[in-house]
Amino acid sequence: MARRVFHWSLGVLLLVSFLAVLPEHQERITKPEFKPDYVAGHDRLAGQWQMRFASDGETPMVHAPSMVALPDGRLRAFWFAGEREGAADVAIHSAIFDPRKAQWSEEERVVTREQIRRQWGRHVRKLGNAVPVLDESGRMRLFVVAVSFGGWAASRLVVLESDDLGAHWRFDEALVTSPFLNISTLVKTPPIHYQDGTVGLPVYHEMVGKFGEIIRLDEHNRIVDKERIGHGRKAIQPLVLVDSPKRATAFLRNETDTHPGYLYRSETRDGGGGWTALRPSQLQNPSSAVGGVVLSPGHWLLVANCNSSERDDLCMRETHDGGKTWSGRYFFHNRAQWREGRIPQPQYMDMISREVAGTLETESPALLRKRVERNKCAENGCEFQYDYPYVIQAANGDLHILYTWNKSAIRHAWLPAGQRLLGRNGR
Amino acid sequence: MIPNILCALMLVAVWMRLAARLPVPVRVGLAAVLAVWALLPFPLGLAGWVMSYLSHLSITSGLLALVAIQHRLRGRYWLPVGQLRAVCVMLVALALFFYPMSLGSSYADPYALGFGDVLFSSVLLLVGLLAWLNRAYAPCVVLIAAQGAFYFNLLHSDNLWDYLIDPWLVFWATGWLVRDRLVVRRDERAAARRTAADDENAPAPQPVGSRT
Repeated sequence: MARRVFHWSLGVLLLVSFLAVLPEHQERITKPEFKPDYVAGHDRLAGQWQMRFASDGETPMVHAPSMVALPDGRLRAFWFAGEREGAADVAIHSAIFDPRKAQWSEEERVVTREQIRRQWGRHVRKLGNAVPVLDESGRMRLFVVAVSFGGWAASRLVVLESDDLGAHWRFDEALVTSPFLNISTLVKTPPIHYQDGTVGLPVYHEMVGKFGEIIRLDEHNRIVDKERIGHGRKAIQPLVLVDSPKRATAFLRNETDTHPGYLYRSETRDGGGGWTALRPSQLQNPSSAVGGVVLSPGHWLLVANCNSSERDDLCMRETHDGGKTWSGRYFFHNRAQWREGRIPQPQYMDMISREVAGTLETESPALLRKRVERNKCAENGCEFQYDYPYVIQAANGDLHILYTWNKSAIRHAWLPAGQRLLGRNGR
Repeated sequence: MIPNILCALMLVAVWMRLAARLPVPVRVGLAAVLAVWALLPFPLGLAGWVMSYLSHLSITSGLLALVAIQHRLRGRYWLPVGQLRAVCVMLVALALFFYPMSLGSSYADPYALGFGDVLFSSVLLLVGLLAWLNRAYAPCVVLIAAQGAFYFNLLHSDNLWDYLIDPWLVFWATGWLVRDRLVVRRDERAAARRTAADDENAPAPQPVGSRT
């Protein structure tokens, strides 16, 4: 009798557990729809880029900026900063840009390794890229790369939440995104949004395979779906440009030897349910990060290094036909002429001084020069590095670009709406 | 807390295996100390450190750790060896395509199914019902426990696969199968030797129809 009861109980429990784990919103996965967020009416922007530093030179090294527009029109930027990349003192720093005053606030340290370690209850060896998301409720989420052991290939993603627009953070959870030790998931590029309120976080893997993915999260940071962009060991850091609820294009940093020197691209026509195979774009790039925004369907701006070998330039390209043709390059920096070999330090520091002088309201030029000298000069000379652009369009149409300037500062390029886009050099 | 408990169970199971030659009271006493140490809050507790490196274990690993601990205490498995063997073979076979594909060898990503997919859940139900009809209750218990834990998000993972399998479980299953194969071969050889010895000691057969 007992055996029979046990047998039938197990059978019932099997059915109950099956019903319990059925997805609540299967249509989310089968019929996804993007929520485009470009600002209509600003397609013919014009004007001159204003350049500022978002960071204060507080730490020797800074890298990988990101930002989010606040409801009142200000911007909050994040980046990681410390003694050097991967050092124990690296933390997430932040500052606020107020377009009305055209001024950056003081840089502050908002998330530390120790804070995540304590609140998560796991060892954290180093912190890396951080990407913010602002929800309609006013809550801000920050997705941060945290590493417990090894290098960036062993990264995990942790989520922090803030109720005061990014001034203070509390640890929420670590996302489980990979079946193998939950390692090798990183963020870099801006999030996208879906019609059902979920957020798409473009991520990439670096350990065995090098490929992009979009992780869809609901408001509780629960992953509801994951879609792959590329596979194998080809491309990372997907930048997703959403044209319409069903159409989007991703540009990815090239990590292959077979088609080196060009960005990869992939498209979806079903709201991200499936992505086409990666193919090389026409855009030269030295395997470095790309930023960009959609200004209207098919009208995109991309910001990246525009040569196939070095990160010593930074340019913007524009397309009006979904990437079939591209405008001429507009350079924020172009050091191609010094690409062969390292530059003698005096000459290099002179050029750096001119870049600093061409940046508005620089607080401590001498300190910045010192940082650059430390980060980019060696006994045999110096080199330039302008990389990791992060681009957003604010609700009023303003364009903002943040990028790492010689590993020493976060530089901000701002084009207020209504001014000429490809204007004179704003340096 | 559940991931920490699973980790503590795994540590105790490993300890019970390593300390198999110690007297039972010593083994059990030290295992209890180890379990308490594992469950202390980070950074004092072992579990936090172990999971920092190995990530969390699946519900299946936790159940197997329980079985292993019971085996070390009682000297025999709760689980019929035939069922354990079948589960290990299934696990290793699954892992051979699951991990490479999930880590990017193809566009298809089986891991993504674990975030919620009717077909995936239906396949699991089918496997469970087949096991149930054959009265192989171990897979049924694993499926019920894993799906129940997933429903309550006990491992803080949104993916059902994380509740069912983990790489350490696959390593263990591979090791168990190798050991099982060696034990079976050893037993077969021993049986063959015994048969040969019996044959030598047995009286010579009498020719049919012979008379004494």
